[in-house]
Amino acid sequence: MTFSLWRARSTAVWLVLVVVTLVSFALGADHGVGSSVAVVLLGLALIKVRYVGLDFMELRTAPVMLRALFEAYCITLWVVLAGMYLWL
Amino acid sequence: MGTGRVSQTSLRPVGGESSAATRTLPHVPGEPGVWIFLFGDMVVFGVFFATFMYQRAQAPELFDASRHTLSIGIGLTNTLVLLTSSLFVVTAVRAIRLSQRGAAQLMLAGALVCALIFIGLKAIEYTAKVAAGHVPTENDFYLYFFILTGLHLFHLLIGVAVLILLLTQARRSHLSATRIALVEGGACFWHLVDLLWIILFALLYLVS
Amino acid sequence: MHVTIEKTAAWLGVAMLGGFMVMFWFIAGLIPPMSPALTAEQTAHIYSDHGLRIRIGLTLMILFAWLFAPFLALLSRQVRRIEGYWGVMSLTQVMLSVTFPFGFSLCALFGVAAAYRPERNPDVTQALSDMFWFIFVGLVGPLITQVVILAFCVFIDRRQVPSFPRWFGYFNIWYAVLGVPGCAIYLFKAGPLAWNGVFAFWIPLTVFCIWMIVTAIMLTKAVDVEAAEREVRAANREWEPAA
Repeated sequence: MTFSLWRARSTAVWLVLVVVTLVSFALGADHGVGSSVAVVLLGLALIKVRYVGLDFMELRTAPVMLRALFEAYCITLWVVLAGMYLWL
Repeated sequence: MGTGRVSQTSLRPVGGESSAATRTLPHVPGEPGVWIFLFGDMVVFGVFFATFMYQRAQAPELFDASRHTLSIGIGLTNTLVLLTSSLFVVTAVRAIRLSQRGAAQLMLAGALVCALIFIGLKAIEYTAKVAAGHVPTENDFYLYFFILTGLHLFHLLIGVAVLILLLTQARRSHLSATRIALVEGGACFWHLVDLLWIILFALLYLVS
Repeated sequence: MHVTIEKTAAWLGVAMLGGFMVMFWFIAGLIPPMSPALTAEQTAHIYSDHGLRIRIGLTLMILFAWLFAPFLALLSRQVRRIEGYWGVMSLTQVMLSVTFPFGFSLCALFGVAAAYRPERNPDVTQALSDMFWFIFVGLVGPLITQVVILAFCVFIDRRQVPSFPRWFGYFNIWYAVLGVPGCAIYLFKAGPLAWNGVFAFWIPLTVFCIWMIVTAIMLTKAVDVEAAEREVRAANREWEPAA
């Protein structure tokens, strides 16, 4: 009954998100101040956010405008936060 | 209900993602108004994140040192717990569309359990921090830590109410277009809570 | 005639928003806010150095704060239209609307009291100044409740032509959530949740301005919806609902 529910893209995405989370944890648990690892970590976080939006919030099948706004948010946030980390 | 308004959302066909025909019709998850709220919240939290990064730049060593006193294990577990809850929610919405009410209710209950685990772990984390002397007034890092995670927790508590609302909708045998939109909108709000935590985890526990 | 008065009320609200900014920011200079972490002497200095402009700006606010009332009365009437009678939600709107102008005039009273006698004990001045900020920034409950009720009404409006579009309900929820942090100022003297902080002051101030302007526009549209309904009823020779 329920098993077919799980055979969907969202489950695969979840698996990827879990893996990326663990990788981020391994990378980020111990790094110094001002390292470029932070930029990667922020990038990984925003990639996760992107997948949550596209596959959990179902923006993949949404009107282009909505999806574009969301993706723009992800990219802008990454650029701004990474930029502030590196250059402030 | 009969508002006489043209429906702004298209009903997603029951076939789900496997049907090629659904791909041609763009569908706004929830209803357009929900996205005003979701994007608005995302933008304002973006401002909060930027404020945190600005404060970090004023005292990078302090922030890094304080970061190491955080219980990163709890943070990691909470991230995984919320990701799992989102999986439950998105699967529940699929179940509702396929009229599998029992499965949907089970999924939503699972999401609620995840939410409660998150809250429990947060409580443990806060208590442990305060007991170790790390209070919001200790330094700027902990000030922002408690404020940002507190604001997120506030959103999560609203999310719990939303999940309970979704549970009541999952019990109905037939959902009108408006109720489907409500369910999707509520689910999107929960995913927002998850998404904000993903960024918070990276910012507070990993990047500082 | 109804329509003209009601639309004027809506725009009066926006005009008062402009007035508030002019009085508090341009004239009194109280925005950007002073820091809660200042000593009593430093606070007293601010009130004596800028005493005249503070008193003039706040005096104007005490006189004109009530001009928010017609805007809020219109808001309550629209809620009443959705509710169908003067029920719990409409009456709560009215009661909370009564407190709204006080959020501006009462705090201004404390502000002028703080600036009134520069030669007095600085501790007293600081206490009065604290009261100004406590009321101005921290008293968020009534407005939050008002907009939540408004959002709820927007969502339950089941009429053929609703007064407000559904996105306006979500917009009000957004405003309510962002207005909440203001209540935390009593616990902090510095940082983002202090009365001069990003989360407790600047963001709520920004969203308040956006909210007033958007709501005024939506209210004028709701007035049009109501006027159209009134005409239809007149054409059908139906009785108008009492009040």
